Amino acid sequence: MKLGALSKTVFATYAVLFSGTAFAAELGQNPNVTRWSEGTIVYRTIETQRVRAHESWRLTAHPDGSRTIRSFVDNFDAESQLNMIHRVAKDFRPLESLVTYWSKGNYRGSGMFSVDGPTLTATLSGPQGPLMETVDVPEKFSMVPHPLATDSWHTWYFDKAKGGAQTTTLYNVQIAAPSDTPALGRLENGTMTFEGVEEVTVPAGTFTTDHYTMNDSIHIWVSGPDNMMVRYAMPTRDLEYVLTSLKTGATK
Amino acid sequence: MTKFVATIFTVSTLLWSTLSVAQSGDTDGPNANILRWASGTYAYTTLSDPRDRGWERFHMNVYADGSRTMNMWHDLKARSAQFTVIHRVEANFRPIETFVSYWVANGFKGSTLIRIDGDTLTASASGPAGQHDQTIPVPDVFSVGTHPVSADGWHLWSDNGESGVDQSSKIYSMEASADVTKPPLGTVRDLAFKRIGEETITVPAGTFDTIHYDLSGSQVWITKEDRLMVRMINERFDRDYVLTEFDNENYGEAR
Repeated sequence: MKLGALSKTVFATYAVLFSGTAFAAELGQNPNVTRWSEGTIVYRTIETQRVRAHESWRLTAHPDGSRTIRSFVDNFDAESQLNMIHRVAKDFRPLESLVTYWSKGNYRGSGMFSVDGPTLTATLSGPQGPLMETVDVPEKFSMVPHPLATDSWHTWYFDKAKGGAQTTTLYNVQIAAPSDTPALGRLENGTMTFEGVEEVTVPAGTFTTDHYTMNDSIHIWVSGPDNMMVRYAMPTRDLEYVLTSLKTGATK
Repeated sequence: MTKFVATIFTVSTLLWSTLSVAQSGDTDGPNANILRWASGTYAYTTLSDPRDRGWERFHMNVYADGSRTMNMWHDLKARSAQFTVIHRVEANFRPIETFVSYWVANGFKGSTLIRIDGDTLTASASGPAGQHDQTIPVPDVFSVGTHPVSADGWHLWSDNGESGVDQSSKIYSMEASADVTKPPLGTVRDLAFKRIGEETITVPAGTFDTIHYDLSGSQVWITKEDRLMVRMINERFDRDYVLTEFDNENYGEAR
């Protein structure tokens, strides 16, 4: 087949975004990107500061207030590697999440989780074959696809005016659990308490944060309009997760 | 408290807990799942000015079984487009699975999960156009075109190594126009290419040993082993996509 003969077809197919007509928007910023940020998180022990894993994430805030976060986790300590694209609505309620997991040198599978009102649909593809489940989810819930960057979004429906310990509902993606654990996910309840506003210094800088505890055991410090994870600590387990670098912008 | 601690560990940190570490044994790396990785940034410009049109970031992993995952994020501000993509391929670069999330000039266009099982491709798209499912046959030799450029070298995986000879493949190319009434599904089209030869080129990210192709009228230079895009130009459309930053580990001598 002649290369030239195919070019016309392929330009309509493959290079649609390359077309030569200059848009008015060519000179401006991308209206789909209200702001962006990207950062890295180190997973380490608190006592000895032994590094256990690295995570890099990139967040895009869109004009309707929704957010897309892409995360990559290299957890060499647990011999796992995760890729994720996670979307949430303006109020941080989950919209959809795609996660792929590797564990101990083997592909564990990928999961697609879509939320439509009160229904979460999960489809799994991997060595166990295709699996699917539909789960009723409450209005106020969050997802745990496992990259730490999204764990700050469990706080989105906490009522500060009400205060005290409040119930949280999380859809926990089980695909990241050991291989003998059933895949897909499950709903789990817990409690959360707002501890106050605190200045926190981490390698990425000093941030004004909201400090939450989950049953007095897990500490979460989140900051800014995107509820960015600054620090996550489990002293009883000698584990912490700390923001080590951060870049932000409206466009590049 | 005890109840919640038990719960939350299965929720968020089971994989990372000291318990799981104790079960698996501490390691200081590298991660056994990752054979090698690379990450980088592209600048989108016009060839003539050059005028800034956007940029793209990627992170690629090569796994122990030879398969690859490409994470891509682009800000094509020239078209008010922003795409986020995870794309998985086999050791020979045949597609396994792709997820795309598209924002276009008219807002959120939708997201699509594409999975390939043998000779069957299934795609499920959701967005303003509603829910659309697609099942189509695909040939043995094909690729998935998601529109960020990082993985565009993977369209060339069937190259027979013969320079100067017209070759062809197939591409499942995603609908990515600004029309949000059209769901982000794809169609299989012909894709023509020609291997020009091996060339060493220098771009802002460094000097790379590449293979130069004519890909349907675009000139592309890709790395050898992982077929990563180093540069793509299209004179007809006045386009230049060039690697401006590059980082890697265990990536071999001739990156």
